[in-house]
Amino acid sequence: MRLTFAASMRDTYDGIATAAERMIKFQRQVSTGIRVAQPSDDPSATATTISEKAAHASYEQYVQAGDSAESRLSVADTLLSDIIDKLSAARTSILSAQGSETTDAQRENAAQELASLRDAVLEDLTTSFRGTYVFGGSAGTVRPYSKDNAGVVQPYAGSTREVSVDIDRNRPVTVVFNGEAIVTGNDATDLFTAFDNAIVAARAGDADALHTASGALQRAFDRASQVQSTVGTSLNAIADHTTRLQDAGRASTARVASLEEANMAEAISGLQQAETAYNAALGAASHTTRRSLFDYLLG
Amino acid sequence: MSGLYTSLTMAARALSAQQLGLEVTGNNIANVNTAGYARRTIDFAAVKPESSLSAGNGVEVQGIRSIRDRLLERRVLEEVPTEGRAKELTEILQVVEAGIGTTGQSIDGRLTEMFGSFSRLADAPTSAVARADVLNTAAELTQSFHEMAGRLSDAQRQADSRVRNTVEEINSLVDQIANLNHSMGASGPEGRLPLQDQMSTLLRSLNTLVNVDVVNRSDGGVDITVGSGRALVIGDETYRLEAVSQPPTGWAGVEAGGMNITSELRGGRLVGAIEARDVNIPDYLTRLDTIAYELVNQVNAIHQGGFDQLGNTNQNFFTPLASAAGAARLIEVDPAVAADSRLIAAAGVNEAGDNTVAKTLANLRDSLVLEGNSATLIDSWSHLAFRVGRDTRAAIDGSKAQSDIVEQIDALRDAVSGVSLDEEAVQMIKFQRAYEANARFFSTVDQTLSILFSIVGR
Repeated sequence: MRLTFAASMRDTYDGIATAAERMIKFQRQVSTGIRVAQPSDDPSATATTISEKAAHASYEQYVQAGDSAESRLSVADTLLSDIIDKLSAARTSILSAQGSETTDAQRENAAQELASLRDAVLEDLTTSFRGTYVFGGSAGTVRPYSKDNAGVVQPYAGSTREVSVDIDRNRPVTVVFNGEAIVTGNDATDLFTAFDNAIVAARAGDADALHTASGALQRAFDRASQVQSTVGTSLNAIADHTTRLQDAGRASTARVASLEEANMAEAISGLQQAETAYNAALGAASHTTRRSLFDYLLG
Repeated sequence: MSGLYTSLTMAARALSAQQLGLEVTGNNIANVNTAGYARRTIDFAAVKPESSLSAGNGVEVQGIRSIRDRLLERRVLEEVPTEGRAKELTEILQVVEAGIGTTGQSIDGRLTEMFGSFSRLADAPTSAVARADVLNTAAELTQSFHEMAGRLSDAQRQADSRVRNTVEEINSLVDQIANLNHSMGASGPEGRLPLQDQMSTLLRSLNTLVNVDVVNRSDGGVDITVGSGRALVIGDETYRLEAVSQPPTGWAGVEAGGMNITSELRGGRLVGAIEARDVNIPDYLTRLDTIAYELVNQVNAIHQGGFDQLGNTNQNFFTPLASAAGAARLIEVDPAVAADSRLIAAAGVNEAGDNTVAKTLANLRDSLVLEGNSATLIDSWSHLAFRVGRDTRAAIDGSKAQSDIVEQIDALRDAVSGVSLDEEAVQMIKFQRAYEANARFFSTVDQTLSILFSIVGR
C-alpha cells in the first residue's frame, strides 16, 4: 500500500487528537472528581442518579419531619406527664377531703388544691407549640379550652380530628391531639366538670360526690396515660425510622457516588497513561514529519 | 538510417519530455495538501523507428493522467452523508444535553424542593413562613420548566436555522458544480484534470450536506439528483432547493420545484438537522410538557379538595391548562394563590390546623402518575434525561464510527490517488537524471557534429 503524505499527516493528527481527547477526559475526572458530567457520559447512570438523589431528598425530608415530630411529641409527652401527675395529685386531694374526721379547713385546703390542679391541667391542655395548640386537634390556632367570666371552663373548642405527619413513607405519627378525647372521652361530663364537682363535694364533705369525681379523674388519668403511651410508641418509631432513613440515605449517597463520581485511582492512572500516549503521539508526529527523502537530497 | 540531426531532434524531444516529467512531479508536490487532488502521472512512449535500420526516434509524451479509483471515490460519496447526518445530530443534541442541567439541580431538584415545601407545610399548616416557602419553591419550579422549555425551543429554532442555512449551502455548491460542468464541456481532456479535482471536492461537500445521486456525463461533468430522482444539476442547468416555512409549525420544509421533498431526503447534515428538529427535540418537549401538565392536574385535583386558611375550597394551585401542548412553557402558580399564601389549601376540612391536603401533596412525590401509572414525576424526568443522554451518545458513537469508515476509505483512496513525497522525490531524481543523460547525449551529438564540421572546414 502506498503511504501518502496526506494519509501520514491525517494518521498523525488522529493519533494526537485521540490521545489529547483521552487525556482531557481523565484530566476533567481528576480535577472535578466527577465521572458523569453530562447525560451522554453514561445515560443509565444519569437516570439512576436522578432517582437516587430524589430518594435521598425524600429520606432527608422524612428525617426532618421526624425531627420536628419528635420535638412536638416531646412537648406533648412532658405535658401529658404533667397532666398525669396532676390527676394523681388531684385524686390524693380528694382522698384527703374524704373521711368523717376531716375538718372544714382540711376540706377547704383540698378544694383549693383541686382548683389549683384544675387550672394547671387547663394550662397544660391549652399549651401551644410553634403556634399550634398541642391538644387542640386540627383547629390549629383555636384555644381548645378557656374559662368564662365566672371561671367555668367552657366546652372543648378544638377539633376532634388529630393531626399527623409522615415520618416515613406510609408511616404517619400523630403530633396534635384531640384534647376532648383526654378531657371527656366516653364520659358524660368532662374532666373540668369533674374537678368542679370535686371542689364543691370537698367543701361540702359529700363522700359520694367525691367518689364519683375521683372515678372521673381516674378515667381521665387512664386516657391521658393511653395517649402518652401512643406518644412513647411514636417517639420510638421516629427513632427507629430516623435510623433506617439515615442508613438508607448513606446507602443512597454511596450509590450516587459510585454512579457519578470518578474512581480517583483509576482516573489518575488513566491520566498518566493518556499523558504518556499523548507525548508519544507528539514525539512520533515530530519524528515522522521530519523525515523524507527530500531531507537527504537537500543534505 | 537516421542522421546526427535526427539524433539532435530526438535528444531535444527527450529533454522536453523529461522536463515535463519534472513539471508533473513539481505539480504533485505543490498540490500535496490540496483537497480532492489526485496525483498526476506522465505517460511516455517510444517513438516508432522509421525503418528497420533505425534505432528509434526517442520518446514522446502520450499524456498526463490523474490517478483515480472511481469505485473508492463513489464509496466515499456513499458514506459521507451518514457521517454528515451523525455529526449534525451530535452537534445539535450536545447543545440540548448541556441544557438538561446537572442531576439534582434541574427540574428534578426543583420538584423535590416543592414537594419538600409541601411536607414542611404539613408540619406547620398555619405557618406563614411554610406557606411562603411553598410559593417560592413552586415559582422556582415553574421558572425551571419555562427555562427548560425555552432551551429546547431555542435548540429547535437553531436546528431549523441550520436547515435553512444548509439549503443555501447546497444551492451554492449546486451552482459551483453546474459552472464546473460548463467549464468541463468547454475544455479539452487535458484541461479537465484540475476541474475533476474540484468536482471531486464539491461532490464530497455536497454529499456531506445531503445524500445525492451522481451520474457521470461523457464530457467529464456530472448530473445530480436528490431524493427520489429530483434534479439538482443537469449539465450546466441548476434546480435549486428551497427552504419554505411549513404550516402549522413554521419550520422549514425542503422544496424542489414547489414539491415538499423533506421526507425523501436520506442523509447528510440537512437530514441530521431535520431529524433533531422534527424528531428528537419535539420528543423531549412533549415529555417535558407531559410532566408539567400532569403536575398541574395532579396538584390541582388534590388542592381543589382542600380548604385554604380563609375557608375556601375547590381552588386551583396552578392555573389550569387546556392540554399538554406547551404546558412546560405555560405552567404558572394561580395568580390569586401566588398573591396570597393563605389561599394555599393545606387542610382536608375547614380547620386551619389540618394538614391532610398538604401531606397528600407532599406524597405526590412518590405517586405513580405518569407513563401508564408506572412512573413518578421525577422518574419521568429521569427518563427524559436518559433519552437525551442515550440519543446524544448514539449520535456521538455513530459519528465516530462513521468517521472511522470514511477515514479508512479515504486512506484507501489516498493510497491510490494521494501524493507520496518520497515517491515524488524519486520521480524528481529520475527525471533529473534522465534530463542530465539526454543533455549529455545532446552534447555528444553536438560535439560529433563539430568534429565533422571541423573536418569539412579544413
